Amino acid sequence: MTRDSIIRFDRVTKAYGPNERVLNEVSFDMERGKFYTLLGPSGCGKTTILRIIAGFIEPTSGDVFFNGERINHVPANKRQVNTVFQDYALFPHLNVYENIAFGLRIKKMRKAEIDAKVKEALKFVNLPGYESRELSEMSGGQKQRVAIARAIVNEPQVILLDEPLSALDLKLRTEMQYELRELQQRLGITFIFVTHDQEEALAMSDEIIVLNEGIIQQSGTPTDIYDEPINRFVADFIGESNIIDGVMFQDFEVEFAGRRFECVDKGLRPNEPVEVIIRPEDLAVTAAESGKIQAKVDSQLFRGVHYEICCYDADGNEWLVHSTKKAVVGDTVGLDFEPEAIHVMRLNETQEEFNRRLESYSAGGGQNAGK
Amino acid sequence: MARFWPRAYLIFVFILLYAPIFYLMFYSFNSGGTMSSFEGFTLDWYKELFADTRLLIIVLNTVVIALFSAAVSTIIGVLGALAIIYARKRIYQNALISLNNVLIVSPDVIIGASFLILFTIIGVKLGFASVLLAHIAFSVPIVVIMVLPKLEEMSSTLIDAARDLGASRLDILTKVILPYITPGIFAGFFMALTYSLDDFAVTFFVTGNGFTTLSVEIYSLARRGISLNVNALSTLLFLFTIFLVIGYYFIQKRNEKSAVGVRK
Amino acid sequence: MQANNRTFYWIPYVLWIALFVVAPLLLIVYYSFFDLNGNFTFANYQNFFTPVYLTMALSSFWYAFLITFFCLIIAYPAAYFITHSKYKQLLLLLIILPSWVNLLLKAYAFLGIFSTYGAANSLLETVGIGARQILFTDFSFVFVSVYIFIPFMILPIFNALDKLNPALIYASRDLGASFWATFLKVIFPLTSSGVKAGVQAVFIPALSLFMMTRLIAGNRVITLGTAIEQHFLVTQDWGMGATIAVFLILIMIVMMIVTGTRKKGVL
Repeated sequence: MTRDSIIRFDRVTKAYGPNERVLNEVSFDMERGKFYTLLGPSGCGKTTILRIIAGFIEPTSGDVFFNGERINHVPANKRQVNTVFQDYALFPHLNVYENIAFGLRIKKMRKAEIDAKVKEALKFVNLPGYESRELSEMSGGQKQRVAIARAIVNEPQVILLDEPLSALDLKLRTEMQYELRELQQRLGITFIFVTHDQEEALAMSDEIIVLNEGIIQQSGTPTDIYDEPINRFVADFIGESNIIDGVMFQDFEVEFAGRRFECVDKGLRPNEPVEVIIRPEDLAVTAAESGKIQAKVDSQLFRGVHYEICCYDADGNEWLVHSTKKAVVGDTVGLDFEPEAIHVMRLNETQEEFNRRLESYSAGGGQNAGK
Repeated sequence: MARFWPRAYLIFVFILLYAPIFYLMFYSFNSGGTMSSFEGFTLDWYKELFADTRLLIIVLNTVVIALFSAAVSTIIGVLGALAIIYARKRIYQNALISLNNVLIVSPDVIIGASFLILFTIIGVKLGFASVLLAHIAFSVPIVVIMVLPKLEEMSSTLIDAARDLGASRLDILTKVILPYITPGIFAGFFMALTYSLDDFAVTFFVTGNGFTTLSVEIYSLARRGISLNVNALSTLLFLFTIFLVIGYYFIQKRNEKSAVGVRK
Repeated sequence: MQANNRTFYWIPYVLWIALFVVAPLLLIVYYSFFDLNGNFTFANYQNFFTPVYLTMALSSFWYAFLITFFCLIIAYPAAYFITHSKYKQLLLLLIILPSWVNLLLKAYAFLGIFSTYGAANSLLETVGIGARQILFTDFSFVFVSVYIFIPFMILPIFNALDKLNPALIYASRDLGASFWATFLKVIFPLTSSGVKAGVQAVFIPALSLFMMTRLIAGNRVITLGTAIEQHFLVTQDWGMGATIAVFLILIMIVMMIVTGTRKKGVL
């Protein structure tokens, strides 16, 4: 281990029956002091990973390491990990002070020390002076902060957050995203955040792990994952995209929608079938004759910052365009894009192969947007 | 007019429900000695009541049985509710719940008769011990019924949260589960108390010659005909009942308040 | 590791179930096969199917039916009006309160009210019907039993009515149904669970109330409960008493099945 690893999963599998694998040989290594997000649709196994780290469940096979020590059978109450639960799990029979002091009282800490720590924790989550409040008097956002304070007051090395923002309304959620990110940077400890909301993941994380059906699809920085999705699932799950079947004609030339286009990908077999992704915001609407693709506008929605335009080309492929300029429904328009906007995905490529390919681009051409 | 009939009907029902009780209380002040003609105001019946040491001992017996049986059945009932919640499989849970409810739906005569057989066979002397055991036995399922919903409503993440914060199994029980279900425990205790105080049929079956509770005593007095110290007694019991009901509703209120606290 | 810790919870409760739920039921069945002298016999069951016991069972049924019927007739409108009242919580409390008064005291009150010179006869005198024997008749038995059971019928019906979404009633009226059509097609079907629970809470006890027949009906009415008490405590024929108890338990089970899922209602 060259990096300062805090949590490591080594081929961890969790099964509830012979055919019910919730996690399938999941391996990863998390560094101290970073903000990680486990992202995926419901049932993808992200919460299972969190519960294994917390110690609520044990893996069926594989090993879990914490600071280099195997912790498979260490019970939850003996781990230096604290959780912020989705429904907050605040004790309704205790007030704010007692909720936050719960863990400290278990440790039999001195009264004065508890007092000081609870006050400090409340200050940290911007709720100073709320000690004697009852939970029934608090709003959802405030309860959320109490739950966070209850976790950080124990000074854990890792904080686990299980979709903590999902019960909040949109405005409060955005606000809390900033606060959580700031909190993590101030505390300097590892945050592991579980969500199914890709925007949340992109906004907050140092690193995102995308999961589906118990298997890690891709992990990397938010820009990596957004710009260079490894497969159709990731591309679809992270943001909106146009995904079209194509063929890699040769290095730097890909064929789709009936034409050949210049691109920045290389190292594939000639005539290898691929999937091509172009993000809607990378497409520009032009006059029909000056576009690389001609398409007929089918419908248009105003989304505030942009228009979402849906058009079909002559082959019947659907093209989603985000444009600040308005189009006219029924008109034929041109769609223009840069070679860098084309992202080519090989079918069934593993993460190692994918990373090697991307590295070869930057070593060779140095023209790719990804790291 | 649309409001008149409902109101009139409800007034009729309430008169029907309360008239006999007030009739009873009214004649407890009758110097005449019957429940049909009111001759003059007197407190003699109350004086007679408080001078009757035998009756006072019976009252004491009844209260001791009620408090004792309610306390023991609350302990067993809470353990039972925990056992049901922590039963491994759904089938075990349902089986336990069904067995639990048998005594709640069974008519008192059946409970009384079967307990009589049971106590005779295992050799419990009919009297204080048999009555106490019987009262504990039929109060346990009531406590379970009052505590179980609180346990069911308790989110499992609360226990996860406690473990996460370092609590041991004992800590979880004493610092999280028991405080959380306290309103249910109190409600169960009160229900057990009133069931015990109110019970006639089961006690009647399993009590021997030497031991009597208030209900059984009222029955034998009533079978002998009207005697106005029973009226005086019932007036006092009615006031006591109102006192209990207020206590119970106070607990229910707290119950609701804490329930709201859980809701998001 | 966890299983060992949990075993401790189980012991008192499971002991309770074994000793006070399972054992008594088995003992009742066991005793029903013995005669007065302790010999094994089927005679008790043969006896039960003689006209004496069958008429007793039938009349017990008939009275229980009457009591349940009148309770329902009185309780449903009362529950309905209470749910529509501004003070429904207070009224509900007032309905429940009498049910907490000792049942024997309520029966005792009627000994006074229904006596020869009591309030009921005074009322009949002033109306002009004239005094008559009320106490120790089957009328007084049914009347007092209905009086005692009314709160137990009102409560579940109230709960069902209270849970009914008022928008359903508006929807029915909006779709052109009259009040009665709404009642028959929407309100009553949706509150039938409450009615069933109420019927269950009244019918079974009405079959088994022995003190009421002793105090109010003066042995003019003999219910299954009276017969059980008689055999256990007076004639000491436990075998026959147990046999009747077995039938009462069977009736109870049938009632529970007919009136549906009580368990869900309770929990």
